[in-house]
Amino acid sequence: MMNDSEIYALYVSGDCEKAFNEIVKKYSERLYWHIRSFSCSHQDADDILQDTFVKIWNALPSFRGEARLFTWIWRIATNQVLNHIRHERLRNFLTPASEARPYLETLEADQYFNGDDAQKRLLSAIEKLPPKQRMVFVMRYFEELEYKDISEIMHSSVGSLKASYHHAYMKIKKEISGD
Amino acid sequence: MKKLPYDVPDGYFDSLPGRLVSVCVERRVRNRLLYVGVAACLAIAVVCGFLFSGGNRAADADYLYGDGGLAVSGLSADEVYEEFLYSDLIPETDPDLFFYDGSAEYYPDGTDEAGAGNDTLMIDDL
Repeated sequence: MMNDSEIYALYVSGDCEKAFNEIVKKYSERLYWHIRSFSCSHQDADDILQDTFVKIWNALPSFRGEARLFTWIWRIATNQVLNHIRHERLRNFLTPASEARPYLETLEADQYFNGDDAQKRLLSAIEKLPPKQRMVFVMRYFEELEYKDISEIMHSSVGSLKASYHHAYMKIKKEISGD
Repeated sequence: MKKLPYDVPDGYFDSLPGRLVSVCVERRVRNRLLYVGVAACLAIAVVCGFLFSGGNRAADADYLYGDGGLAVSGLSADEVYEEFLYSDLIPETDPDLFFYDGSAEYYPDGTDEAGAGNDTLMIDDL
């Protein structure tokens, strides 16, 4: 599998489709799990993933190699996820309370969820975080990305990300322990 | 990366790259068709606009030029429109600037320096 600089060199040489195919081959699975961390259904994650790759394909001509390919792709995916979260919140807001399904119920109804009670509580607590804290926590805790990488993805300072992670951690701890 | 508590359908990741590439190609073709469709609609709208504005223009000319209209006798419909165009160009605050340039002196009371008033350009002369 090609590395990012080889893919970029391929793209610069004019073979855009091959470069895109290499991006898909290299990142599709990892990107699926990145998106899945924020979505409680496989179908939603699949839709967001498709939209993300369409965005990548359309935005590829504007990629100048100033950022790393990996962080550029993650940024596009993260924006797609944030848009999805906003739409979800708006839809929940507009849905009558009797028809709105709580997150835990949706999670349990998902046929692809295979976690235990502790994982359910953790995911439910993460879902209640504000978007930025949720992003930072998921990328740091589940994806184990460096703060430097998250900082490039989210265009935010490392100090601010560390503070967001700490706040998220405290909120999750409080939520899980039921204080 | 920590393992998330989710499964995926059987063979999902095997078919994923091929499916994503075909979705992107499909959407690109669809977007191009959409752009072509929008461009065609705009072109049709412009053509219809010309056709319909022609009809309105005749009706307007009739209103201006016909019986009981604005009675601009001796002017064709095009000339009537030209009059309106000129009137649009004349500045409201200082209309004389439109008719007189710096080459001729202008005295608002209709007289020149010598008081004869013969060489003064008047609006009626134009």
